[in-house]
Amino acid sequence: MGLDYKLVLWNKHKKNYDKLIALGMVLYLIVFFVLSLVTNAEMTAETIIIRAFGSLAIILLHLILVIGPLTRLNPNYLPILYNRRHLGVSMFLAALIHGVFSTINFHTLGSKNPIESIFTSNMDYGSLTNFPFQVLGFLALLILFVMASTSHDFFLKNLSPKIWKRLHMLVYLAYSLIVLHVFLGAFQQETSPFAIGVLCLGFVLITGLHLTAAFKEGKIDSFKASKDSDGWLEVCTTGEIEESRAKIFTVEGERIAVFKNEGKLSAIHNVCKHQGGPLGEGKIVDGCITCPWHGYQYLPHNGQSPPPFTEKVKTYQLKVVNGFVYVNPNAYEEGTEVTPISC
Amino acid sequence: MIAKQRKAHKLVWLLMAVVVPILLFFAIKDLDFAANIKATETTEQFKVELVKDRTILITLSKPLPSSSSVLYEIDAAGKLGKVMGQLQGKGTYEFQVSEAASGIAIVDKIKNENIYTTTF
Repeated sequence: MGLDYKLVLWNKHKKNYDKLIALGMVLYLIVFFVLSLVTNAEMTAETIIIRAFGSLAIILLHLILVIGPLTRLNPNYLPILYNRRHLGVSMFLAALIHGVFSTINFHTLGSKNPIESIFTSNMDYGSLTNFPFQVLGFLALLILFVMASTSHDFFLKNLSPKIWKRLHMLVYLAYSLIVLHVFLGAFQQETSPFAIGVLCLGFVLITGLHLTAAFKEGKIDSFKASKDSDGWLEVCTTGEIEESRAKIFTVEGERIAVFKNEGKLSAIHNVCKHQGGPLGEGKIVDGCITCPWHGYQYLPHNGQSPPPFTEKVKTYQLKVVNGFVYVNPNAYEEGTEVTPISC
Repeated sequence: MIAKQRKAHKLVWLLMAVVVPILLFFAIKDLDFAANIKATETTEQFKVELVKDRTILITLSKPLPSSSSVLYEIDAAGKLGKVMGQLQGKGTYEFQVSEAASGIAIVDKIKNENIYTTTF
């Protein structure tokens, strides 16, 4: 959380995360260069750069895309979600180097504008097997550029989390374009069953994880609580909620988190105002509900971020009858004070 | 995520799980995985690869020092046959060898020197 917009709000964890990213990328590039020179001494430096950075970008994109579903399936993976933005920007830089070198190598020797040349050097747009694959890569790079340049809280706040999220869901389109770019480009020239198999496996892994997580979430969404005569929903017993933790329930299609703090219960909307993190999967730290994704905090009794921060989420009224917790499904306005109830 | 976003994610991945594999299948269905390199010979200045369907790939890492480098087919009798082309600057050259050829030769026609010969 920050009051003003800085390029990067550095902390020890982010620095360690970034060091790991940089080290992994440099190691991969060194190994790729050495192996390329050992196995094919005639390969030009430009070709090695194009292949090294292209393959690096694809590997990083796979890593980025598995983080989301992994954290939804197992919260132990949450630490790798914390600084995913930097991984995304690093991936874009690798893809950019691949794109720039490819354009220089293949499209700058003629009289045409290089960008125009990408779109017109192969006009077989009606063919599926001979489709101009470089166009697909170029469009994917454009999407990644938009995403990398808006990967900052300034844009998140000013575009609104809803629009920002929609914009960043374009990564799925970029991923599809990139996979097709490789299949219609590199794999047409070097028909390596191993490389094709690895990329297919990557696609199956990512798609499988996303769908598994989606179906798991669907089960939570289909939770139906029984109503009492006043329309309140019975969600659990008081003993089912651990101290400083929450249980998540679906109420009227939306999720709410019922927290226990110092023996008292409070309920807030489960979605963090920052990037939509699941607040109910976080815990109470120093009296504040702390989002497990990026550490945004809210007070349990009013859903407001502690001053001077201004984020607010909806709150809900609770009651306990014979050890059972009931939720009033009609939410209060964001930031409305609700007195916590004793268990 | 809110409920609408979760639903949108699920729909996007269901769509991708169906559409992308179909496109990938059509992208590689005509690939010939057996079209790998059958033989390779490497000299200091160039590499000659024989791939399937009697295709020859010659990769020059730098221009040949000879003033004329003409590529010939070698006929069944072991003599120079059809002219296939000329090697000039560095790069990869692709030639189709006829069924009757028993090999190829690179010849400097000005000095009338044989630079390289290989038979299949």
